[in-house]
Amino acid sequence: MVTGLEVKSLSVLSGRGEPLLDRVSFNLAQGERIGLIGASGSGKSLTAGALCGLLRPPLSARAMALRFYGNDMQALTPRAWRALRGTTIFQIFQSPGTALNPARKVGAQLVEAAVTARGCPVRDVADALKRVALDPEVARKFPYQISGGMKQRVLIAMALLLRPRLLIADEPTTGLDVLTEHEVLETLATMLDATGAALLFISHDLRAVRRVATRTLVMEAGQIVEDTAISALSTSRHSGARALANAVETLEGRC
Amino acid sequence: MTRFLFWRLITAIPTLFGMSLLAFFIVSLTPGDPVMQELRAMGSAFSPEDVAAMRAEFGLDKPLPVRYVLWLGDAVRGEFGTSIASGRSVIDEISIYLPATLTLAASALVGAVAISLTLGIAAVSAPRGVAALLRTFTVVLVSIPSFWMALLLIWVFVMQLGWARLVGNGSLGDLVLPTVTLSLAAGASLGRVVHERIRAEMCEDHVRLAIAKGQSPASILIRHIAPRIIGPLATAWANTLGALLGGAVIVETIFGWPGLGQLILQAIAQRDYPIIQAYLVFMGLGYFATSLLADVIVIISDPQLRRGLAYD
Repeated sequence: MVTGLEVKSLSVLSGRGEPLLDRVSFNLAQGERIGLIGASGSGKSLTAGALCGLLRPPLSARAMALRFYGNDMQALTPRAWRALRGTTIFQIFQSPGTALNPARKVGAQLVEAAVTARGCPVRDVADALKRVALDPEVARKFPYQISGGMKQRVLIAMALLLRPRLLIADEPTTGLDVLTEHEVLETLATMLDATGAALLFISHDLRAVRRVATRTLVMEAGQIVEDTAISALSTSRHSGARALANAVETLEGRC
Repeated sequence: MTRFLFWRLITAIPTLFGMSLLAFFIVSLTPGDPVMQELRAMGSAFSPEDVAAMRAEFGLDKPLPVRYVLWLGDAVRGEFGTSIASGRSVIDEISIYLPATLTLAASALVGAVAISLTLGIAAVSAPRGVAALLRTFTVVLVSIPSFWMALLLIWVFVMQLGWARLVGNGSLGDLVLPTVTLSLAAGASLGRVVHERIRAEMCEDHVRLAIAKGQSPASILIRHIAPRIIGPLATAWANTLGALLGGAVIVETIFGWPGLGQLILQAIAQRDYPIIQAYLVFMGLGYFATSLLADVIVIISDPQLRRGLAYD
């Protein structure tokens, strides 16, 4: 199995030097889909930020190794980071409601992604919208004219245009109803099948993670406490991870 | 949009009415008597009958409310009476000086917009040390009074370097120093607005997405930030234009720029009521027109507002 992303002992420090993320290590194989799960404030989004070079000062990241297909990400210049973002590692964020620029048409924002990904013709925009089950007419609308689920699908269409090798989805279904969430996750899986991209799916919702990922990392207080196949989560050595799995099963049993 | 403009104009009526009240009564109630001043200025001896006759000539013998109603009736038709000092029609007087003031205000606005964009963008994009230096420089510029800045510029460019002259004839070359004086202060304070707006927008999710997409900072600024901040900035710029029109008085006087500033200072000294009142009304209309323009830009730059107005 080809290793895509290699994270070895990654820490994120606050301005005062406190570790907010403490020596996190994991590998992600080419095309692998893993979930990163944990309570709010456990360090999931910080991990994503560090992997995209999007941490804001005074936060800083350091690692023993941070490599993507063998390239040392810690040695990247700001320009090289820009070249990497989008077409190699792309991140979609929570709250689809505010992720698109309200002043510009959806189509213009997708065309921009198509142009960023060099050699991607503009007509692919309509095609990308169809593949995420949206009417190409959506391109002519402003973000406020479409629903939250549609916006998140627009972001997935953007990922289709950019064709990244790794997609980081940070709680992409926050604020969506269960049915819409299901549709968005289906669309996400379609996108991954089409591009062969690997996925790092960040969520506090184990049910959603189970639907798209095969392996899961459990985070607690800035550390990874479990790295296991999802099916093995309920027999985990770590009590927190086990509790998480059991809690979901109990809930699902009741519904 | 037509409907919006219509209602905006209708609701402006009470505002303009209040403005006319202020313009009329503040001027009329200030101490000083234009007739006595004018007669004294003529130099020859005058009797109480002369005073009464001149009062009657300018309608100043009637009670104040009656004068207001008569004045308002004329003003609505664009008739502002005759200047007590010169005897010429007020409209004629104002139209002699207005173009120079408008030219100065417009060029100062262009300068202020250019300075504000440069300072605002530099403050977010320059290295930390340079940005801090720029912020200090901005604060200094904002706090220098315009008359002092004018004197400083005169000392450097007229007296030391000899690049400009002080008593000009209103040519384009004479426009440079007053423009620089006005636009430095206005541009610096607007630069802070530009800086704040860009910084606030940079924290928005859609800008994070654009960064994650791999767009360059310049492209993010032009395509993502600019369309979002143009409305609020237009409002700030329009308000500045109003302030520039009004605030040009002192600067015009210092540089001998033949604008309304000279006319109005003279009129105030002579208690030339019709001129002062007309000037205040014109300034009010200027403010109204610029803020209306700003509102239109806000609407055009916000698709949701634009659509909302198209439907109602």
